[in-house]
Parts: sequence; structure tokens; C-alpha cells
Amino acid sequence: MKIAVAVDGSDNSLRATDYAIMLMQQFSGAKLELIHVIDFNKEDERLLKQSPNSLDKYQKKKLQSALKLVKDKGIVAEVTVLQGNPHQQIIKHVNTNEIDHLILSSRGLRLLKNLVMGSVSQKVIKHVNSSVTIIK
Amino acid sequence: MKIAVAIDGSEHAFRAAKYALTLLGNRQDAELEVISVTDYNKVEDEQLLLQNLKSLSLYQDRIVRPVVELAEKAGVRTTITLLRGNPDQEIINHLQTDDVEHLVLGSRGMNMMQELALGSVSRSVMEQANCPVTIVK
Repeated sequence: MKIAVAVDGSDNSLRATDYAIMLMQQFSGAKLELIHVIDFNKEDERLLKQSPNSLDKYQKKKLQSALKLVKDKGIVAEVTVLQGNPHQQIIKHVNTNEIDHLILSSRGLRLLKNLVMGSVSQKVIKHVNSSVTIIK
Repeated sequence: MKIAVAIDGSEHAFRAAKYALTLLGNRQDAELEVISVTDYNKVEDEQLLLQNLKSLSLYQDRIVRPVVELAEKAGVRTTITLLRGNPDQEIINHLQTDDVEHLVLGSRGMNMMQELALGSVSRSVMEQANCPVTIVK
């Protein structure tokens, strides 16, 4: 059993992380993976590309609070940082890495939705091979 | 912890129910709510059933029973909720009046989800429900 959470540093994604921790406690022997996608189409993130150092710091900042939550519970999580279009990257990653369960937060979804008018959340759910949980 | 699962008699929905039961695990206060919506507008059989109360209850029983049996085997308390009307709207309304903490859906069902532009029921439920929603593949 492999559980993945898409993390973007928001409060909602922290609640998604909480939910993943709850799942981890339910399924013994499960593995947890935190996924963060950097979207270079967003301006501030594009600027970061120019300096590997600041990019590194930026990623750490986004993942920090989620990682802390996980560590406090004594769970070891794998961290994956992807670059590109968020929903495409998530779909590709989940499908190629045999992830059984993906957890998304609804704010993240709405954000994605803004990109391609509407059906992106549906797209992730439709194209991903794993079960998906949406946290409100 | 109370988890609701929406079922329609399909294989997908059955898997969703199984998943809900794993989530409930061995919790003391585990409760599974089995929701089945009969859509009179959608399918001819269901419309015909409206005319005969007995066949209607048989029909609903056939959909709900496998899941209830599964839950009993797992030792989880179940409640059955039968709704009629538009599936997504009925499920959303029901969630608002109930203390469900989590909703589990199959990714596509036999009729309601497949016919309505591939899973648009799960989509609108997902967007409008006020609790976490899991789509089981």
C-alpha cells in the first residue's frame, strides 16, 4: 500500500497530510509519499528557476510544515518534487510509481481548475489509476 | 466514525464499500451508512418499478444486500438510506442533513455514473459535498 499526498504548503494541504497520517495508522506497512509540483508557468516560481539555491529553499519551505506533521507521528515519508504542469505531473507520477491512493486538498483543486476552465480536477481523478480522496 | 458509501449495485460501488470498511477498520464507534438512490427519471426499469411497491423494495434490496452482508461479516454497524430522485442532488442534500464524516464513491457505476457523461455524478458530489470524498477505482 502506497499513499501519496499532493502538498503545496497551504492549510488545506496540511489537512490532507493529516488525513494521510490517519490512513497510515490504519494500514500497517503502508508507505507515505509527499508530492510537490513546481509550476514554472507561475511567475514567482519561474523566477526561482534561475537560482538553484533559492529554488531549493522555496521547496523546503513549501514542504516543511507537512514534513513536520509526519515526523511528529514517527512516520518516514518519501519526498518527491516535480516540475511542470501540476495535474499532468501528478497523473504521470502516480501512474508510473504504483501509488494506491492519492490525497488532494480541494483548494489545490480549485487552483488547478483555474488553469484549464473546469475539468482539471475531474481529469486527475479520471486519469489516475489509484483511488483518490478529496479533502475539503 | 461514520462513513457513507453510495452504491448502485455495480462492481465499482462494491469495491467502494469494501474500501470504506477497511477505512473503518476495527474502530469501536465504526458505522457504515449505505446510500442507494433510485432514479426514476433515468432508467426504464426504475420507472417501471415505481408502479409496484413490492418489486421496488425487492429491487432496492438486491442492490443493498451484498454490501450489508459484507459489513456484517466485518462486524460493522450499518444503516441503510434509500433515496429517490436525482442521484447527485439527493446525495449532496443527504450529506448536509447527516453527520457523515466521510463519503466513499465508486469511480463509475452501472447506470447513473456511466450515462451522465462519465462520472459526472461523482464529480458534482465531490465538488459540493461538505466532507472528504474518496473515489475508489
